[in-house]
Amino acid sequence: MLMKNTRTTKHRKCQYLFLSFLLMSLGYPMYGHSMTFTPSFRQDTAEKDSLFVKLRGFVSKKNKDTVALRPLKLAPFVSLQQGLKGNAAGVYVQETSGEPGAAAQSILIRGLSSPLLSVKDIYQAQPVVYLNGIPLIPDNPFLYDIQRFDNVPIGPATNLLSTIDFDNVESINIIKGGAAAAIYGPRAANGAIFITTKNAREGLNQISFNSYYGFAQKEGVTTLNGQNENDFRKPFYTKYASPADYDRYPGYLKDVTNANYYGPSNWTDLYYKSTPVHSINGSITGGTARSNFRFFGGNTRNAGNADGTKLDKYQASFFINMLPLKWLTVSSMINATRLDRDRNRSFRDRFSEMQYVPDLTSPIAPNKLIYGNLLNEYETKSIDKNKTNSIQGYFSLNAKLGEFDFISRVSFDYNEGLRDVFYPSTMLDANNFVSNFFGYNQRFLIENSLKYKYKIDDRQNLNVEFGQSFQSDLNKYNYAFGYKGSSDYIKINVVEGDPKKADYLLPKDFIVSRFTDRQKSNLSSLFAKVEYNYNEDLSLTVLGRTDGSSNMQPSARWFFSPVISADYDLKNSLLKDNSTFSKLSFTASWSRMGSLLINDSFAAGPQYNVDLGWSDHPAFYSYGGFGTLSRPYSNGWVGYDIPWAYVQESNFGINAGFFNNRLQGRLELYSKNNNRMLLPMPVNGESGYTAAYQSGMDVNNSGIELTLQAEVLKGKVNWTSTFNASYNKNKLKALPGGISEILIGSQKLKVGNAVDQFWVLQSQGVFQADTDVPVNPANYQLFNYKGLPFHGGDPIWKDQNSDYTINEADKVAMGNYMPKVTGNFSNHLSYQNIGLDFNFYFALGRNILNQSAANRFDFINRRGKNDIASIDEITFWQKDFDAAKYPVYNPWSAVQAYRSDQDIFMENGSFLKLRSVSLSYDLSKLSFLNRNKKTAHKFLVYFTGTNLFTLSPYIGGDPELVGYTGIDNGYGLPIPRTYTLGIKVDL
Amino acid sequence: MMFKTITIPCRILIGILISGFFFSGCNKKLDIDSTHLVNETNNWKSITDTRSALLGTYGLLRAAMADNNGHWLYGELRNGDFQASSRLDLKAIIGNNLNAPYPVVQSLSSWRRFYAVINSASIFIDRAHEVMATDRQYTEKNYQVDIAQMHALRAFAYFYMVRIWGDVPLITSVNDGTFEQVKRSPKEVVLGYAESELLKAVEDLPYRYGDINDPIFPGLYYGQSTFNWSGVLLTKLSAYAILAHIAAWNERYIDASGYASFVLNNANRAGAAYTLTSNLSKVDGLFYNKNSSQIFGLPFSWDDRESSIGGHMEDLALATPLIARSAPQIYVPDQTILSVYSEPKDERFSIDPLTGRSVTDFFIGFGSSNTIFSKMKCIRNASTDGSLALYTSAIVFTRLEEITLLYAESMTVLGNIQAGKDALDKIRIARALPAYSGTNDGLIDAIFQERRRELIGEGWRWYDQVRYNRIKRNNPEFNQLINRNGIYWPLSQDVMSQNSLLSQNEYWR
Repeated sequence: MLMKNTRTTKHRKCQYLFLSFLLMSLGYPMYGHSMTFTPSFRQDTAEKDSLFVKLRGFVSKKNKDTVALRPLKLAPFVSLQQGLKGNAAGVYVQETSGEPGAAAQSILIRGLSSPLLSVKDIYQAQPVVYLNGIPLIPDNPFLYDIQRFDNVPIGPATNLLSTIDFDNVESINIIKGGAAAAIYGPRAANGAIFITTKNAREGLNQISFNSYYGFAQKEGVTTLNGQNENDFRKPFYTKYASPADYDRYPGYLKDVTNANYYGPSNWTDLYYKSTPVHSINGSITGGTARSNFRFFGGNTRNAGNADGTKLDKYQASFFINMLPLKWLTVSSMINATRLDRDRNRSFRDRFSEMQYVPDLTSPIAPNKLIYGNLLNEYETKSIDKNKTNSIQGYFSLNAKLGEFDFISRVSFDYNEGLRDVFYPSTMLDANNFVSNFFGYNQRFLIENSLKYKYKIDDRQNLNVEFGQSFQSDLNKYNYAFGYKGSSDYIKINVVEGDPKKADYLLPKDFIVSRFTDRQKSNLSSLFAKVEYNYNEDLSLTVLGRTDGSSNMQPSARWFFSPVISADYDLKNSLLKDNSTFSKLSFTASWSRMGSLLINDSFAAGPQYNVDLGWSDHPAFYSYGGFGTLSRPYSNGWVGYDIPWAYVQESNFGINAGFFNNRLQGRLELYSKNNNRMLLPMPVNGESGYTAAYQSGMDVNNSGIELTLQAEVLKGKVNWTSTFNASYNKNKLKALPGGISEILIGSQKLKVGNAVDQFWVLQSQGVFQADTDVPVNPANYQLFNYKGLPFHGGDPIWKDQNSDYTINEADKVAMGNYMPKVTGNFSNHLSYQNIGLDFNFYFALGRNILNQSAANRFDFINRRGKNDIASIDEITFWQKDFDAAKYPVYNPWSAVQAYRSDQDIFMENGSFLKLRSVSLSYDLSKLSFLNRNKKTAHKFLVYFTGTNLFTLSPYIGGDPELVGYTGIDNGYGLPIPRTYTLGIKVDL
Repeated sequence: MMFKTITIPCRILIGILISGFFFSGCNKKLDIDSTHLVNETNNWKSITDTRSALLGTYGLLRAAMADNNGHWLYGELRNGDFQASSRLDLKAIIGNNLNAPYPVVQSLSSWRRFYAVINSASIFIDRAHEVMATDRQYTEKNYQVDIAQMHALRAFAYFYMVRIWGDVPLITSVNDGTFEQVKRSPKEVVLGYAESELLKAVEDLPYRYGDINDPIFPGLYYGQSTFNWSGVLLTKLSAYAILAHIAAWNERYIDASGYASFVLNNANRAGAAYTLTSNLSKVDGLFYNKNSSQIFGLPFSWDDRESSIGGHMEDLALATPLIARSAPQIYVPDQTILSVYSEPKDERFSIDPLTGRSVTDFFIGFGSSNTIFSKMKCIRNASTDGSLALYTSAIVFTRLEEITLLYAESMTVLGNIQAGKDALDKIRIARALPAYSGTNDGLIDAIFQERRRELIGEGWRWYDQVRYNRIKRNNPEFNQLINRNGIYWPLSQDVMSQNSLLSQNEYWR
């Protein structure tokens, strides 16, 4: 956590050596060869961004899915996740909040590979994102280690994948399945997303300009006030309250003359607002055959419609390609982005940043004046700055000598997050707060590969490739927060600046806690690949690679991954004259690949760390004024001999085209096994440890992916339809130690069941009176909940094992939080210069646990607790559930009648959304705008509406806005309806 | 020209070869020592490693007692003088419904945190000698003192657990990573082990750490003076105080009186003194920070920047006007206060007969609907500004008054009435009460009543009731609890499900 291990030796020389070697090679004089320039990027999947899209092979043979970019470029999407949502088979994106630029978004390719037991687990499951071949470094979840509450990580918590601007993108490929990902190694064990930006090209001299303006529409909600809350609680009080309970009726509801609570509930005027959004960007591409360049620059503002949230993005990219020698290509890129984010102003996020929960007896009043006063404090006195700077670049050399092709590349990705916070004393019990965060993630990557083409005879050839890569990652942060400054005018943490003084660099004013952490990890890889082609009909590929990770123990540092795949084109060889099939090919592959650990605490084996904290204070750092070391009792025991976890995947696919490719389809079947994964297994309490990490958890994900693309109409009116749907299910195959069932916290894992299941109690009504509670005839004990007898007013939960005791064993698996089927249906219609696009997105067969409704009913318990989970936000005064649908239990009961782990709060979370509709008109066909009739010219005017409607049986609001584990805690900000008007010009 | 076109490919080829060489060297780069932790080969090398491990074990004990404010929830609330305002889980504990399925109650039913202390102490005992071989600063004497502390701390953890759960598994060696299941040992065996460990340890434990005049370990301890260590570490006096309590819990009052009298006779050598009433409840009084009158305490010292929100009586009991909270989580009802502090002129609480108003340092707002128990109110650096509830009071296990009353109790049980009376009067007079004038038969009641008044909010009330009822045996309900082991806590389901040799305490089945 906060130890500085001075024994760490640092080797940095390697990188610098290699850099200087590269620069040396660049330093050669250029020769006057005349030649044609070959671009360094293959553009086999490039999509022309013009109005008339020709159908193309949307799926390459190598199991890459290409995302249709046109709808993305017409919609004001601001993150990669939003762009991918529903747009590729097998990819499931979850946006847990509509807050623009917030980190709370995830991508899962081909299902959930391990149960989500802690907030960190979702990080482990994310695919790698490549930007022009640079694997982008994500945030490391070690940020959570010092946090008392884990709803948001410290720092700016900005989504690093908001740095992608779709106007700058040439193609996005989804790489699924081990065979396709093999070349990328263990980084891509969860799949990969390959983004290629637009680049300079020979003969392309172009100026482009894209812009849109629009707004996010205000949400319409029904508000509540004290009277509603009073009415809601009344039945519980009449039925179950004692006189003492009446005495403790909350003060803010007691006094009906209190205009703040019983008056108008008009806070929504300040909370929900229609907010402008815009984007403007341009690019210049030019140069000659021997050297060319591209520059892209842009600014985007995205906004939510709630709580004043917004994101500003500034971006610049620069590309240069050169051909100094006939056989040598030098290319480089630099891409820089700045993100500024205005975050939500919820109490929960504020108190969790402060790691301090004040008295929560009364919620904030629903009155505009009261809420306005709080917002005024935010606007005039507080600081909440969130900045993220990100820069990527590469420098690559490509030498072609005869049949040899050598590529050497150095790339880096660096991003830094800064957050400065100040809350004045007027916002919290005369107690102000300051915090400052600076953290960065940095990645260096050196790659070399050598390809050789060998022609055996006219029909057969061999492609051989050897490669090596070395990746070095560093995550680091410094964080300090302080309470109780002497004045609200001093908004920074001032330290003593005089080195002669004893308290040099110590804070002068605030009561400060300081944290720093650093994690370094390296990955070294070697691979060899042989590809055999016969007549272009049959292709067989064998790949072997070995990867060494510094996060693995020395005894098991390297992992060998074999991959074989085959492609067979039936059309070419057997169905040449068949008129129905215009295309038919099969692919099959089998792969095994190591998967990386993102945590560096397993490599050491048995270890010592700082473990002074307890549930309220996880990051306590000294005893008697000194730092301490002990075994990791709270984190869990780590032993020796932890092997690599690996993914073993079998894949079979069919590509078919019919009627001269007017209808194309692809069907894919896969079975993916994530094996030997680590799981913190609960151990006997007498060991002192909470858990011991053991390897041996196996999870299988299997599924079917279907993509269909059709030219429905052709001629004057063109209509192209694309449909994709994927079915996925997961199953726990094994637990460490061969056991069949385990309970970790409240999450039950059972071999043979899915890992994303909800385990809940089944309700069967309510005990009307104490006398209704049955007695166990065997020992005359009353029917009880974990030993505590039921009373009148308690729910009747089904006793699954008939032992007259309700406990974890009586929970049944019901529903799952991962959708079984996800997909998309998108259409493009055109008539002359007019185009219409619309796009549906659906997720079916998923459930949501409506905790936010459970919390409403559990008002007695929540009031007493005074913890972060019992904060009532201003949105408490918003109608989001129907009380009449739930039974009336005794909320004072010690069995906690309204616990959320019961079936009455379980709901169907399937949904269908109309994600976007665009209407466009291409002016470039008009002769006065395009005198030369150049095809490359474009002048597109369009109008787009996004997130227009949702169909869902879920009653608690937007079914997308739930946590990763399917629990709706009511904190997701709405994903707004957005309307934009834009133009796209290429000259 | 021709030459150059040949050499360039050559150079690049050489470049590839060089890079190949150098990458094989980069395999070393896969050895990275994590900055979050220290691995097995790097630990137990220097004197800082023993200091870290020693204090780490204390820290684990502090965490075990502070978690969920456990020290008070175990010791003070059960059947005690406090009532809960709105927390249902606290109500369950006060009402002796210890199997209520509230998260806090369930968490308190687990003994894991105490076994972490035991494991950590055992590892220290097992490994610390390695440091003597590698770091000459780590002297034999220092090693002995450290080992004695670890034995004593482990014994204390067992004693603390036996008071809560009765029979507990007795684990005395390190079984790193084996997770062997061990069955419960009878409480007598466990306490016997704890007592023998303590008796060994007392020989090597100093009266004061870092004191040049200490007869056992004179001079700086880990480079620090008494100022730094008072109230932080287990001293000879702490060990004897624990011994006295183990003996008393075992109803062996002869031993208890002997151990207690050692504490009383040697208090001045350890810098421990009786505390004035006003000093008990002062913001910078006995409970504040760390000091030598806390005979055994676990500090949250402001000087060491170790203040916290949880782990303090203040967190449970304070409210407005002292801190920004409308109502306390627990409070003593006015009726109870009046019945407990029934004697006039008591400095802790009494009613002034002239004005009819309360005179007290322990309570604020008596007579209003919101009486606050304010004996401990160490807010930050002894501040009176309660807007930021960071507390700096130590968890004080015992102090001189407590041991004096234990001595009085022992003597009275043994029939040495005069000695018992004298010890009781020492406390009574210090609190401005007259000397005890009741009957000899009533003496034991008077002593326990005095404990109730003096030690309120210090986590004794429940254990005092157990000892009292074991002596008196006149409360059938309580006898039932004692006979059926109902005085112990149930064991949490989590703990039982991981060890098939454990079963639920019969009372809670």
